[in-house]
Amino acid sequence: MADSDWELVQRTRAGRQEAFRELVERYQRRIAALALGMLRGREDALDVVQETFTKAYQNLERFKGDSSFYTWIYRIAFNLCVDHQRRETKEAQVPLEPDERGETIVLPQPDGVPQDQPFDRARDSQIAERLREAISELTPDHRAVILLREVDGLSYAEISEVLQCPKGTVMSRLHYARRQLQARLQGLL
Amino acid sequence: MTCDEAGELLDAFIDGELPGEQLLDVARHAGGCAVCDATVRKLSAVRHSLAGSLDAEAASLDLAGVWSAVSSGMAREDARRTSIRRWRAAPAWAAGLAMAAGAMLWLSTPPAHEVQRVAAARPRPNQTVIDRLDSDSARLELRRERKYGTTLIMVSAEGDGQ
Repeated sequence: MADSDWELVQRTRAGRQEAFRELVERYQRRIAALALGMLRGREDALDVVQETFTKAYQNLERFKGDSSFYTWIYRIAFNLCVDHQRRETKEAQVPLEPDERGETIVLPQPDGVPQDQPFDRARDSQIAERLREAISELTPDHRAVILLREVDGLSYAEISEVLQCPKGTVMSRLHYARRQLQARLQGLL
Repeated sequence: MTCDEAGELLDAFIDGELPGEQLLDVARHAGGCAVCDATVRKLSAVRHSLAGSLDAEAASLDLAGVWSAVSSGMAREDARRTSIRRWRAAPAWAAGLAMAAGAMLWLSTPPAHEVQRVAAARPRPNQTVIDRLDSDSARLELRRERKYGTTLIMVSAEGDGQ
């Protein structure tokens, strides 16, 4: 049976680095999905993943276990994403065009659908493109709410903990963000 | 339940965040209302598209280098903590010694207040200020020339000529 997050935290505090490695491997892909959604750039997302765990290790003594480890680490990742965006905004002289933001997202094929379907692929890439645009137009707070819910599957209470805002605010931001995305995908879904 | 009432609860409905009774109310309403049913389907489709696209992109990221970068950061942090611990654990006599050395250094420095006081006085027009005299045995002599209103400063050290 796998060790709980709390057990791994305790072992890390006792000087066992391999315990922290297990935590990194457990959450790195989920943090990467959040960072990709928040920042779009793959390199930036990787930076945030690394910085998140380094910062978590530096501050591990402060983690008291009042919240779950993953909501705590999501909070660190979210703050780092916001910092990155602030830096980018300061540095950016010209806004990026949508096709400069990174590679095309490849949507997974639904079960039972043949892999080589040009029309389906074209439609999926169109959906991905529109989703990318719609997400980038949301504010960081709205973006974080929808990513934490839809991609990471956090509950309203957990999102409220990560973003340090009331549950009602989480619900209203989620409602707004979904309607924005829905409007963008009109006619495609 | 009206469409407006259901509309406010649809997000929480698809997220499974409604308490049992409300969940059933919304399900009953959506089951009989084409508009709310369509909204539920669209919201669910948005969710699947978003989760699918970002999961796929995250899955394609090469995270192999993450641990080595993090472990380097951890090593730096450990080194920092060790040096702080060493500093804190330094015996009291070492701190006393450091303070004594500081005091000795301070006492062995010649007082500079006179030099500073002289230098601090800025010359007025047609005036000059002697900034410092390097020799303790130097003799200073001022000779005024009343006719032209000038002053001659004569400085001599022991054994030197004027």
